[in-house]
Amino acid sequence: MKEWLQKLDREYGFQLTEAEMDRILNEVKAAEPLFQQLNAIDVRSKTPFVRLDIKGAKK
Amino acid sequence: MTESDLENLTIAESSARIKSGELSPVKLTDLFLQRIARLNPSLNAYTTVRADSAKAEAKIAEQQIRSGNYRSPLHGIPISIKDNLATIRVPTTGGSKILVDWKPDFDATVVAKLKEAGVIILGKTNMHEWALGGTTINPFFGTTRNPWDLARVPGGSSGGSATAVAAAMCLASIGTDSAGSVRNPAAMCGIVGLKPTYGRISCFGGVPGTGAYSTNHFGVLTRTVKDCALVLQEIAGYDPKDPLSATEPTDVYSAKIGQEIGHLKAGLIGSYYDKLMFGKVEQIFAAALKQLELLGMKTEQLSIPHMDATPAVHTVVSRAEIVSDHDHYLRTRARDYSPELLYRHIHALMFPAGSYVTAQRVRRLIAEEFERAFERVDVIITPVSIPAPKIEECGRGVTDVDGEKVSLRDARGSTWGLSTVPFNVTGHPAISVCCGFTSAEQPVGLQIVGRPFEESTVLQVAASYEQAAGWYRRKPRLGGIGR
Repeated sequence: MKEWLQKLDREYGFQLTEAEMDRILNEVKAAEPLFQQLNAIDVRSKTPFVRLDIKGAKK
Repeated sequence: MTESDLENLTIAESSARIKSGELSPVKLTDLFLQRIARLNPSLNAYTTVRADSAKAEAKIAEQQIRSGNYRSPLHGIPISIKDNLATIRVPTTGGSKILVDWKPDFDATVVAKLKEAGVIILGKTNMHEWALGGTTINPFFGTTRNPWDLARVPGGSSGGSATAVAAAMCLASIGTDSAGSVRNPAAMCGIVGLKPTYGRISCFGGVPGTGAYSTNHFGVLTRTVKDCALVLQEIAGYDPKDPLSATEPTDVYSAKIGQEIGHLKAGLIGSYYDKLMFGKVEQIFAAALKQLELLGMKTEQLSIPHMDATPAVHTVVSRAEIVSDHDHYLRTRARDYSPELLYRHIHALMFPAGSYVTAQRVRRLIAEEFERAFERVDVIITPVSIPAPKIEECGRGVTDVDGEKVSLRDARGSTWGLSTVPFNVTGHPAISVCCGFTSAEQPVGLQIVGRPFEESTVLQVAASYEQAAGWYRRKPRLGGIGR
């Protein structure tokens, strides 16, 4: 992860300090459960929700 | 009429008097400008006040009405606009240092429609930086204060709009809502905030990067539900300039206001929302449900099996979409973001691409679960948020709600956003209306959610509750400020 962040830092020219990198990496770590939660859901039969012209549900 | 009379004024009352010639738009605009001059140094609701332009617009409106050219119930009505909606030749900052000098050469479609309806635009309202947060503690334009307690935030990101309406510094405001940014500040300021169905209001002219493409909505903040319907009427509808706007026909949004709601059924999602009620909020919410039952509504617990995944879906989808809009400024002006927002964007750049698609597939699953739920009920009722935290509590990340310590954020985002983001994920119309006060005299919001494009039903239930409960009559005490 740190190498990836360093690559982004070079590409975008952020000039992040070590303390800033540590903070961002801590956020990355804290967010891991979000991705794990989504990856644990069975979506094999579901297409992505890419079109939002939703219609009213009929009673 | 005097400045203090503005506190009890609504659009519905004013427009009838303006139409008949009893109330002058010029006089009304002058009174609002006087009130803004008195309160804004303390509340910081407005970033730009268009005093001269507003006076000129009011004169034109008055002449038009006198000559028989009455345009709409908003003709001559003074309103405000959140500072991430393009307004021609007026600063439009998005709450960002980066855009501080930008004066658009065009109007957002919403602004153009409101001008066509004859409104008076008093100014632009303060907001959270890039609309990406819920406090309106803005490092560049200052903190907006909550009129119920100046030591507290108004919520956000449309915090300036909510404060302006609650403090009677305008009769309505237009905000944006990508995670609850209309409903949360409306709840925290004790007013009405509507996020209509996704695509119902054109988002053309919104500052790019101040809301995710698939979760952002423009919305309305007013003091009463009827006023909200009157504003929605003028700004709803398809816009060819916004490819994501909906082609569904508009409705007469005030048509059902005043009609009984005894035949309607409300769904509850206790498995999700019971964990989000702190302090007296649970008791306040229970009293609101009792009030709806007294009005004849039946309630039913609903099962939304993947409801707990809605915040994760929202976080992954919205942050990935938003960071795409910021790519240019991240490469050229990274240090003109607040550090917190810069780190957040950099983190979003590290999201795996596949996670966005997975989140959209889970989103489909959740949307289908809500579609089935809405076959059983007409509306869904939830609490909106935790009450407004103190400004100092936002820095510490913990607030006190009636003696209970509540963490203000975790990896999923802000605690108050957890109440509102599910309907940014699904796109359903949702309104917040005041349903009581905590022991610290802070307002609490009730969220009423409807089927897609059934804003009329949402407004009908909200208006019935509002009139029966009567919380809208309570006003913040601002008489001593600036005198």
